[in-house]
Amino acid sequence: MNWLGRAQDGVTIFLGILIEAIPFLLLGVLVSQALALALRGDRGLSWLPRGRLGSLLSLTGLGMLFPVCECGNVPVARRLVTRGVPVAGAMVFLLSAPALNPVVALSSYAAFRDNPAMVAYRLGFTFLIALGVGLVLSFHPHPDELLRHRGRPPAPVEATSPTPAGALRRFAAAALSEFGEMAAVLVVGGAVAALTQMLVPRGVLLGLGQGPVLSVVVMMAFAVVLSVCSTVDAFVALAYASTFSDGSLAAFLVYGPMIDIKSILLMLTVFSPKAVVLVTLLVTEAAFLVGVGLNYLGR
Amino acid sequence: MSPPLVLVGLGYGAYLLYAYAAGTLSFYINPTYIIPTAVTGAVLVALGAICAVAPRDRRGLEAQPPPAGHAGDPTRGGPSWLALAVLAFPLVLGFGLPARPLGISTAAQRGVEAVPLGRIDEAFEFRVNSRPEGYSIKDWVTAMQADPDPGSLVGKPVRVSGFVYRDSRVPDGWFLVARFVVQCCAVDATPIGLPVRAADGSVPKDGAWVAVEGVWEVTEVRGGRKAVIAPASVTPIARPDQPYLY
Repeated sequence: MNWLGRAQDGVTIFLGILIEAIPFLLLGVLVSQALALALRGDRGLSWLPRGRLGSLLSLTGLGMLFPVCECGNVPVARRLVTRGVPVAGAMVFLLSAPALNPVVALSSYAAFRDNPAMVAYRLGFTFLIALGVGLVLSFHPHPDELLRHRGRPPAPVEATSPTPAGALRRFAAAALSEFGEMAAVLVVGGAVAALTQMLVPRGVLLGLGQGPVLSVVVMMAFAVVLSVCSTVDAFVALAYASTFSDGSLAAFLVYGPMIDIKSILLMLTVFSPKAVVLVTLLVTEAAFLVGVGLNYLGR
Repeated sequence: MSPPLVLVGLGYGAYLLYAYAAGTLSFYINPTYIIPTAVTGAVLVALGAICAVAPRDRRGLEAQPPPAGHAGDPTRGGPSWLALAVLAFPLVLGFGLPARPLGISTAAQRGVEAVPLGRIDEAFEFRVNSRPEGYSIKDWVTAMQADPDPGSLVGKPVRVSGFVYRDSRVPDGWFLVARFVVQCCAVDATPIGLPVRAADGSVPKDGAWVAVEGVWEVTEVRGGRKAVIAPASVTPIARPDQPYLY
């Protein structure tokens, strides 16, 4: 076996994933930072409907304005709670926003241009699962128990207006900070994807990836462990597109942005452990059903 | 100033611009994404430069509480040293090693197939027309997918280039002239190849780049009829700047 050639090809695949993903990562970061500035204070939230379904639906769509992954959305969810948005609504936003936004749609399409149904699965099932979980939570008799701290957290104190040069510097620093945080996770995810491609024989991957149930379990576990940012996880999934079933890839793309190690830790900063366990179970069951269902329907 | 933040912006931006200037981005990604990648490099360098030179604004910073999941004031914090070490890893590889397109190791790992392009929709509309000399390896594979009868290729002139690939499935005295087809980036590269029967049985070295000119013929091999290129010439060439097909 030519290990040198294999290692060199591994480096090419690893850098290929990063180079392809970085423009989407930066785009997401820049738009999110710009919108975070635009939505400071009460601006931008007064239009939210008050009814149960209307509120949940509009918060599902709010992700279209925040094209970032989990870590960027938790502060926004906290802000929603402090502004009086129902707890279920904040959770719906947190589950849907990482995947249901234009940058993720774009990057998923770039990765799966030859299989665009994957983009539709991702957006459609994310919407349905987030809305379903929100509806379940909205019937909770004591919604405040779902929060980490009983009662609503105090609203953050807003900074005073900075000078233009200072504002530009803050913007650049905040964008680079978020970029660095997410790129570090992407580097780890890209390395794992490149290593499995180079080291694990194709026959083994096909064995794991073609079972209608096993493939879904493997890819969902992979999503939890990898915790790759949703704007670029489609490029990681692409590494498995020729060996894993469509249902398992869809489950990875739907489940990963909602539940992974990073997002669970971040959710715990706003919601109670009980609420986080409940949501994790509901989303896991739903994503599993989606993956297995697609595999059986596609046969 | 936060040196780590400046380094993240300048380091990643400089690497993307370096790969663009060196013409090696096509080893990693589909050419469609080369310009957006170069622009991304320039924006990252600009963000790093702004962090380095723009004056710090003291007003209001202390009043802003740190958001969950972030290290407080981003102009002072930035990634941890562990994150920086992780972030430096691809830059060390990118700047430190010569850029190289995928080679025969990946072709062997993924398996070179004659008809692997299962999702190419135009396959059903493609027919070998009267001037096939300009066809790439991908065009020929698409043609074979549209019309699997090897007899329909007989006598058609071929002029293709690619790297030499052999494995246990390739008959003695034959080789495949192969290329990778890339949809998005190197991670999805699919190797495809056309069989060539070396005229005097001398097969070029594995991985060497060659230009093959000849005509298609059909021969009995291992109990089946197979289309194979009977070459008039097999010429060594330099690796092309764009080694993949798209």
